[in-house]
Amino acid sequence: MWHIKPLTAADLGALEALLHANPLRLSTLPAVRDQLAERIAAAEQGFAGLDGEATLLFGLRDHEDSLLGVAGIQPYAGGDEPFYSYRIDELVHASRHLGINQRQSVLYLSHELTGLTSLCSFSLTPSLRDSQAFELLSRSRLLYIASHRHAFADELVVEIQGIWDNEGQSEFWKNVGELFFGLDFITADHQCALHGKTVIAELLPPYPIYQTLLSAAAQQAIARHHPGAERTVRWLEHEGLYKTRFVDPFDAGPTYRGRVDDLASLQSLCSVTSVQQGQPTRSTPLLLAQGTGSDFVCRLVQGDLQADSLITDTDLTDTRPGLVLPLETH
Amino acid sequence: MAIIRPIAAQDLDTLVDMARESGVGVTSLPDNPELMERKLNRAVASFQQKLSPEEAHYLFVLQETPDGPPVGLCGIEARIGRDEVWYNYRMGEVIQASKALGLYRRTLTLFLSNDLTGATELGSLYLREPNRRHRNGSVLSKVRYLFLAAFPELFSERVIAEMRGYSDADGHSPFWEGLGRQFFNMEFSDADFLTGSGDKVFIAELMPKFPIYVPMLPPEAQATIGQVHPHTQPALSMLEAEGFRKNGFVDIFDAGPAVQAELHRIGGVRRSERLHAHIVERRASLEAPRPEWLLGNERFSGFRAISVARVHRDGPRIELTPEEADALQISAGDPVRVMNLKPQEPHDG
Repeated sequence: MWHIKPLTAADLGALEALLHANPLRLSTLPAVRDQLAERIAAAEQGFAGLDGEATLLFGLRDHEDSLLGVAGIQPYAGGDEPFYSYRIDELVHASRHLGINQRQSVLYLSHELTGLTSLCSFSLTPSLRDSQAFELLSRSRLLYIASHRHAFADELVVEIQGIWDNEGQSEFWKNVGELFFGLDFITADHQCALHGKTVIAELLPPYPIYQTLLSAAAQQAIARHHPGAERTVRWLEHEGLYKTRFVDPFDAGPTYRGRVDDLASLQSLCSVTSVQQGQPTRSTPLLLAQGTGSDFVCRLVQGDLQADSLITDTDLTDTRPGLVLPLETH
Repeated sequence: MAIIRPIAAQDLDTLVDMARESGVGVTSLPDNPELMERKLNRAVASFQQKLSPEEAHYLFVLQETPDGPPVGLCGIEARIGRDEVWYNYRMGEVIQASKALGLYRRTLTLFLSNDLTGATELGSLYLREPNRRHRNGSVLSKVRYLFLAAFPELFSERVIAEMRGYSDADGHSPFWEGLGRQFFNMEFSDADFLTGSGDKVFIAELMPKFPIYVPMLPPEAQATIGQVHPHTQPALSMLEAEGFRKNGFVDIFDAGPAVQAELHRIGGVRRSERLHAHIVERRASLEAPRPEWLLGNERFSGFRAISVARVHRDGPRIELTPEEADALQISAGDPVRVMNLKPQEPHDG
């Protein structure tokens, strides 16, 4: 049975192996052991309620407790530092006298998304991307937020990976960041993972950028997601998040945003006061979240709701109250 | 002996002809008779002091003989950017540095600027093709220093000239192609806008307002920033010999450089001297075709200057032939400003 629990120091080796095995690297989690140990330690502080700004890291595990995926929540994007995006704006260059009217897209560095709750650090064993494990890993975070609502912002923000080529290079970066860093995308991305994105983003060109001056390939990459993120995008849209005019300052991947309380998952949540073993008449897949903080666990179970209880035919000894979310597939 | 005088109403036809033949690239002389007439009227009003000194635009014409037709033109705009917005790009830098990353990068950046507003501009220099001889070009360019030296209170202490930027044999400006063209959705040859109808300011208002990171431009465009057109190199060298230096501002269309000098430090202004006319009958010597000196009469509306091969000086007096005095429209005892055409060679202590 798949389930989600906070990562602990014991997961370090497995996490490193997981990140190495995933062809899509994460800008927010470096596959470097010392760094991962620090991130896990910080996350543990966060789960224990000792650090409200720490990025929380959740692990997807199978029935043998093997780590198959990781996902994170940054309670306040940027933490105590600015969170950088480019905002795409339009300027109309018009002259009545010359009969010219032209829209120009301009990218402005922005901190507007700072302080929103960010879903981040999503990495799932590739063979599971089309399974229900994807739903479990993605949406368990919303259950965590729902059961610790006070610890998060009112709005969610999600940065989606942009267009990278087969070598892992970004045409957008080549046209923008690389001019100012002299570092290729992979190197810069690695530096981001090591030093944090803010440290790198502070070195981005400070003035707005005219889109028309970028190469055609770089322009085409703006606000487009990587094909590998297709399922995530569909899920976010189903939840009711919308694509913003903000893009990632490194690869120009799109940014989604939405109000936490309006998300489809939060709207269809039910509280249950107990979980009972049984044979429900109608058994459907459900996400069941129990416990708080370090004791949080979210499972994929079969069952049905009766009054304020969950009746499940999944073998489960944990009978604590919790939150239940019907699992539809998208 | 060439004679330089303020432009007059009867010079309109000549001015229109010169504008027509000047072609692409001489932005100040667009092939547009209506515009040239306005330009002439403004210059005439300036010499008649019907405009405030700040609004004045002085145009001078050169004649090769006292009664000959005008064959060349030069101008002084008293203050640029007075009636329309004056744009340049300022070449600046953005520095990105991080100790943690061991990074230190300088990025050349163009900042749209109105900083040259209020400066005095030397411009409108044009000499007809057959008359490019006898140092007429040099005479036309430098006669302006006599006027600046005579009436410094009418001008800014900051004197600039904008140099034509690089374009290839077909008239294509790589800088325009790399930047300006990106902001226009119509087919627009350089010729169309440069010789057009004085629409420079309209076009300027469509140009990008935010700084332009030079590395984002095509390499060909980057290479021409601050470079002059090959034909303009002699003019640049002449200005540099008079103490003008590139001031870090470039044209927003072709990235040609602006050069600048303080009025009182311009070579020609410094080496000019105010003497008094002493009129002497001298046996007509064979006039050497290559003039060495410029003489000016120190009058405003009745300004006259001539170029001569040699001068005879006697203390604070300068000896003029009656013909020279006639050409300068002066009498004995009147002030005369004298300037050698050649910049002084720097000499060792």
